[in-house]
Amino acid sequence: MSEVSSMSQHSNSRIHPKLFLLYLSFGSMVMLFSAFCSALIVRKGDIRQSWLDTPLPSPFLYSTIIIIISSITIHLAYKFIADKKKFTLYSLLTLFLALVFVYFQWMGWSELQSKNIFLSGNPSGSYIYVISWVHGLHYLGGIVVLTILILKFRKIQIEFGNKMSFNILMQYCHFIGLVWVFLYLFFKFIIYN
Amino acid sequence: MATIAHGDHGHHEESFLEKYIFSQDHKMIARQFLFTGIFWSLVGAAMSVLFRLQLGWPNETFPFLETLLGKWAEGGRISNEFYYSLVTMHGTILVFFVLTAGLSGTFANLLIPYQIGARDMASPFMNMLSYWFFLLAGLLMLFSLFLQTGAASGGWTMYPPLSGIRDAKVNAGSMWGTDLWFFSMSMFIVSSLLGGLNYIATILNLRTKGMTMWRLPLPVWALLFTAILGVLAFPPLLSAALLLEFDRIFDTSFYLSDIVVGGNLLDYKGGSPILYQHLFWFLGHPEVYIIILPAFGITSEVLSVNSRKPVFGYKAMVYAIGIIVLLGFLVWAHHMYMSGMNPFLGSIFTLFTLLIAVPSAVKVFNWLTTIWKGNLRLTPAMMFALGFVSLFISGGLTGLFLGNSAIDIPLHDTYFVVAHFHIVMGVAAFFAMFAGVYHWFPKMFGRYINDTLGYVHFYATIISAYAIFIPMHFMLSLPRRYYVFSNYQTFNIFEDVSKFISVFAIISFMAQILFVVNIVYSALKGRKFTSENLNPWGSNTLEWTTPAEHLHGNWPGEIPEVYRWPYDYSTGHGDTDFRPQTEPLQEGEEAH
Ligand code: HEM
Ligand SMILES: [Cu+2]
Repeated sequence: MSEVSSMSQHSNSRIHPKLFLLYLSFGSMVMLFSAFCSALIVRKGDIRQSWLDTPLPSPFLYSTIIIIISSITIHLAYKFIADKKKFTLYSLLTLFLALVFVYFQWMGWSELQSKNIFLSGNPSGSYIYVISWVHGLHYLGGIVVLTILILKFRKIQIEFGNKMSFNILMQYCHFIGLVWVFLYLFFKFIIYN
Repeated sequence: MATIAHGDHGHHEESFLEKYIFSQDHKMIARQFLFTGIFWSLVGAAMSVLFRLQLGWPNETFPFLETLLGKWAEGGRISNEFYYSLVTMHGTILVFFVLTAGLSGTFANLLIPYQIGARDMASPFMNMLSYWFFLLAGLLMLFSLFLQTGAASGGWTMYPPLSGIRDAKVNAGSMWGTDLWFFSMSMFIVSSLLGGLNYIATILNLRTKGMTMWRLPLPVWALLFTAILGVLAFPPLLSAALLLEFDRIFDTSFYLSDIVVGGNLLDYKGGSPILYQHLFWFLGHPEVYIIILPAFGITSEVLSVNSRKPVFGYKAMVYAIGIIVLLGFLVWAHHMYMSGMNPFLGSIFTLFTLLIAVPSAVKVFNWLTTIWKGNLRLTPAMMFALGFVSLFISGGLTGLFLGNSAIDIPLHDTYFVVAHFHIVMGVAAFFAMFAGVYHWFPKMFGRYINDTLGYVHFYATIISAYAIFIPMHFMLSLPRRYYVFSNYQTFNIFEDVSKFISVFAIISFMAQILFVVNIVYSALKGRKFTSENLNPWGSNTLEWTTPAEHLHGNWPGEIPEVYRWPYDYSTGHGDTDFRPQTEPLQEGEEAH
């Protein structure tokens, strides 16, 4: 029925519904990671079970710095979205930094292995793997979407819809970055200090 | 406030696939959820009939069972491993697939866009995905029933260490059955999140002109809070499930420590099984409210319409749900009083648990006051709504006993608990779902459902439900989940009552078959719902202003504007005893 597309739908908010959905999903992601973090606190505090001290891998510091910088570059890409040259520059830079982030995470996991801390050892090490992997999966989702948008924007004229997609991606990346910064500080100062 | 175009899915003719299978229309998705839910409720109920045969006649054989089930019922008697798979699957299917997805999925999809005056959901595409993830979850679970090693058998709560070890020596269901259970639940969680996020965004963003929050019908309020609970409580279950799968597949020790199987010490060190219980019940308790809140909403609506009276204490109803949602996050450990918890901690959880009884009582009080001196129309929908109130009171009372940690210690894991949660949640939520199906049947299928069969369904169901679960309160010394309780002499006193319960379980199952037959028959052959009488129950809400046949976008022209709250019944103004929300206030009439 073609009439539907021309029918109007009343809206009660200023925020775009898709962006609103994104904000709501932050709530779910916060709960997902809080569950891991509370499990970690409870497990570390449980004196009935053994807890081996595990050093936090040092490359995680670099990845934390990188993820903060990449948040700035994606912001710049969004700001200059109408300017093809600048947009390409900043979005490719973001993509590059994202890969560097993954690289440092990888280095972090290798460092754990080299210290004989494996996934299946004492839970103090296993938690680092699993939590950073779950974060990594969320991050990879962002990388995939970023790649798609970069490819898509090469040819077309940017209009409202595209701008909104990039905006959503950017806010998602900020959020996922923030989650990692939080996790890093949480690991560093509360659990693996 | 702004007006936005409704997306771009306008096409002239939809193919069969687009219309019935990959539909993005909320009304079709509602029916998909309903039928999938019906399928699962039949499977889940049939399972309960099988294990009731075992419990009612523990020492007898039924040769047809061997024909039906093969090696799972050798000699005509259900094997112990199969018994545990049956109770596990029964709980999982009914709690998650039927009373969560079936109930919320059906009514959120049907009612949210209709009652708030929207063309569809905020994201019809996500809505479709939500159904498809649900279907996928179901297929995985269904597949696990046919595994050589059997379906999961660790109980619907899947506690480790039992569920954490992948070893056939533990039990057969601990192999692929348990893995599939967790994969399926993960898909299910994704489905719930996609659905819930969308419901919230729709209710908050797409209400029609004049539909302020305080003019929302109560089912919409209830579905909003349900969705909020779901998007916050399901992710921790995903975390819990992931850690458990790591324990099972990659030999981590999140939940396991010092386990001996078949004389061998396994390699797990440093895990805590109680941790899983915390994570599980952090979802598990909110989950029971995810089930019951939509039931609250449907009941309030059906009671008010059929009493021709405004809902008593509309705002109190909304606040009560809100408080239940808040407190619902703070009581999870009342399922764990027996896990070695610090008694001081136990007393805090007791306090919060008993506090939840207050808003629950407010709701019950308001329902009773709503029907008090009303002009009752005892349609089948109304009967089921009244039945809901009765069941919720009966089951809620036993919650007060269990919520008290000192009283719970002897009662934990006995048939008393089984009685409590089946009455207050299981049967009650089903009653609200039935009420909803009978009430909105014309909107869903364009025909009326047969009332006579409806009354038979009601009486058969309520009598057998009480006949099954009231006696269980008196079996409070009998632990739940015993395969052959008559092996213990002390429990022999329960042999007769157990038979009695099983007989009524079979009767109630047949009553549900009758209901399904009624749905199918009435949807195809029932009296037609026509444009002569678009509002058969004299309702105020917006869904009854749409045309008789389903229309993509719901209203042919503009979406109607709303001028009043939805419960103006018998106001004394005008010539009918109801004032639809679309009717402007008359002179001298005051807004509610
Ligand atoms: C009046 C308020 C209620 C209180 C104080 C209450 C209290 C409790 C307590 C303490 C338990 C744990 C018993 C044990 O295992 O030893 C329990 C079990 C349960 N309750 Fe309630 N309850 C209430 C209402 C409800 C409602 C409204 C629902 C669902 C709609 C519900 C569903 C359940 C379920 C499913 C279980 C059993 C879970 C299992 O062990 O398999 N309860 N209740
Ligand atoms: Cu509970």
